[in-house]
Amino acid sequence: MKELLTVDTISVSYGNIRALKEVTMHVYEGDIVCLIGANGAGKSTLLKAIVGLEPLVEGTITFDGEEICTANRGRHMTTDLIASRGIALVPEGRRVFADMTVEENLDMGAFLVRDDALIAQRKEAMYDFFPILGARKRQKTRSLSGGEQQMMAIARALMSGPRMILLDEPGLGLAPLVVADIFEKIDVINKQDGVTVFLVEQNARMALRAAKEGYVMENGRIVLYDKAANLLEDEKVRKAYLGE
Amino acid sequence: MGIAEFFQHLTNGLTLGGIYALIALGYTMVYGILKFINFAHGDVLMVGSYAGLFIYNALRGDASLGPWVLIAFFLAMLASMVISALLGVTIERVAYKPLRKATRLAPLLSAIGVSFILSNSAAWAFGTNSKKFHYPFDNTPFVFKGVVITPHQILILSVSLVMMVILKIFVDRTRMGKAMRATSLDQQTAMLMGINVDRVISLTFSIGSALAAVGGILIALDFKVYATMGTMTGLKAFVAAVFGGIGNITGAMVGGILLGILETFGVAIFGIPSGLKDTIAFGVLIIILLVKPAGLLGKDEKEKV
Repeated sequence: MKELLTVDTISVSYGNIRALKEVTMHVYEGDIVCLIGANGAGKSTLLKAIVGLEPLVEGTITFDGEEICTANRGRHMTTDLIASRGIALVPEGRRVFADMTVEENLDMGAFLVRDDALIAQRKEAMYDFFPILGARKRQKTRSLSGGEQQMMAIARALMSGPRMILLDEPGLGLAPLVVADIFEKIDVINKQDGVTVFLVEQNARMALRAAKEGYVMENGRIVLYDKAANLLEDEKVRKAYLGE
Repeated sequence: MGIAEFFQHLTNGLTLGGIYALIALGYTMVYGILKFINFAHGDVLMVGSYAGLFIYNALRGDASLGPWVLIAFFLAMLASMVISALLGVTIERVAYKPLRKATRLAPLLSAIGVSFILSNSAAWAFGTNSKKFHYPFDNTPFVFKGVVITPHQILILSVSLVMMVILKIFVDRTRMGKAMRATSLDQQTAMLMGINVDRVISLTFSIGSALAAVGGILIALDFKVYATMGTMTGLKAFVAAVFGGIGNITGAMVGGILLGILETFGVAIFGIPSGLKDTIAFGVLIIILLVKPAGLLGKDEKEKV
C-alpha cells in the first residue's frame, strides 16, 4: 500500500519546552490511524505541525511524496498551500465560523474548489450525509448544538474533497450517543469515499476500535505503535488509557 | 421645527453621514481582520484626494462644464481609487506586515508614523495652501418642497449608496467576500480552508483605501484639498466605526450615517455652536464607550483567553 503521510523525526518547541520530540509516523493511503495519549501529550501539536501551523525545529513531513513541512523556514509550505494538497484538518473545539450560516461554512470548506456545479453537488451530498445540516443550512452556526457543530466541521473539511482528513478530538465534550454517531460517520467517510483518516482522541477505546493502526504518545514522544486491535489488548494501554 | 426644516437637516445629515460611512468602512474592515486601528487611513484619503484632483484637472484641461467634465471627474475618481488601493496595500506590506507577530501596540505606532510621513510629504510636495477642487457640474441648489438640495449632495448620496450596496453584495455573496468574513472570524481556520490570508489582508486594504479616496474627493469638492485634510475627517470616521461596532461592516455604515445626522441635528436643535460641531462626534464616542463599548451592532463578547 502507498504511504501517504510521512512524519520523519520532527520536533516542535514552545520556547524552551519541547512539545514534540523526534516524532516519526507513517500513514498509508486508505487507512484509519489513531493517535492516543493523555491531555498535554502533544497530540494537537502534532496535527498543527502537519498543517503547517507549528514551525518544526527539526525533521520533515512529506505528503504524497512532496515535502510539505521542514525546519528550513524558507522551504516550509504555508497552511493554505498544504490544504490545497488535499489535507483537511477538523480542529480541536470545532472552530466553526459562528457568525456565518451552515451553508456559508460549507462554501468556505470548498474555497479551493473552483467548480460551482461540483460545490453544489458536494453540498447536497453533505446535507444527505448529515441531514441535520440540511435542515439548518440557513442558520447561523452559533445556534447549532455541540454535536451539530462537530458534524458541520467535518462536513466543511470534506467539502474540499480531501485525500486525508485529520480529526482533533471529534468526541470532545459530546454525549456518548453523539460520539458514536460521529465515529460511524468517520467510518463511512473512510470506507465509502476512501478518505484516509488520522484521528486524535482522548477516548482511546472509541478511537482504537475505529482505527486500523494506533500510535501512543507520551510527553511529546511516540512510545508505542501497533495494530489498533493489538493495542486494545496491550496490558500497558489497557491500564493507562482504557481505565482497566 | 417645521417639516421642511426637518427634512433639510435630514438631507444635510445623510450627506455628511454617507461620507463618514465610506471612510469608516476602511477602519472597520481592517480592524475586523487585523484587530488594529489603521491611523494612516485618513492620510490615504488625503493622498487619494490629491491624486483625484491632479488627474481631474489634467483630464479636464480648460473645458467648460458639460458631459466630458463629468466623465473626467468619474475617471479621476476611479484612477484615484486604484492609486489609493495600491498605496494602502503598500503601507500594509511595508509598515504593518513585518509587525504582525509583534505586540498589538507596535502596528498602531507604525500607523501613526505612516500618517505623519504621508501628511508631511504631501505638505512638502504640494505646498501648504489648500487647493480648490472645482465642481464638475453647476452646483446651483434647487428647492424641492421647501428643502434646499445641491447637486453635490445628490452626488454624495448616490455615490455612497452605490458603493455601500456593491460592498455589501461583495462581502455577503462572493467567494472572496465570504473568505474575508471567515478570515475576520478566525484567521487560523480560514487558512485551513485554503484561504491565503495575506491576499485577503491586501484585498481589505485596497477596498478600504479605495473607499477612502472616494470619500476624500467628495469632501474636497466642498472643503478643498490640503495635506492635513485626512486628520479630523479620519478621526470622525473612526468614531463612526466605533459607534456602529468596530469590525462590523453594516455597523460602520449605520454608525457613519447616524453620526452625520447627530452632528447636523445637534447644531440645529440643541443650538450647539457650529464651531463646536466636532465635539458632538467625540461626545458620542465617550457615551458609546460608557454605555455600549462594543458599539450599536457589535456583540458584547468577552475577550477570549
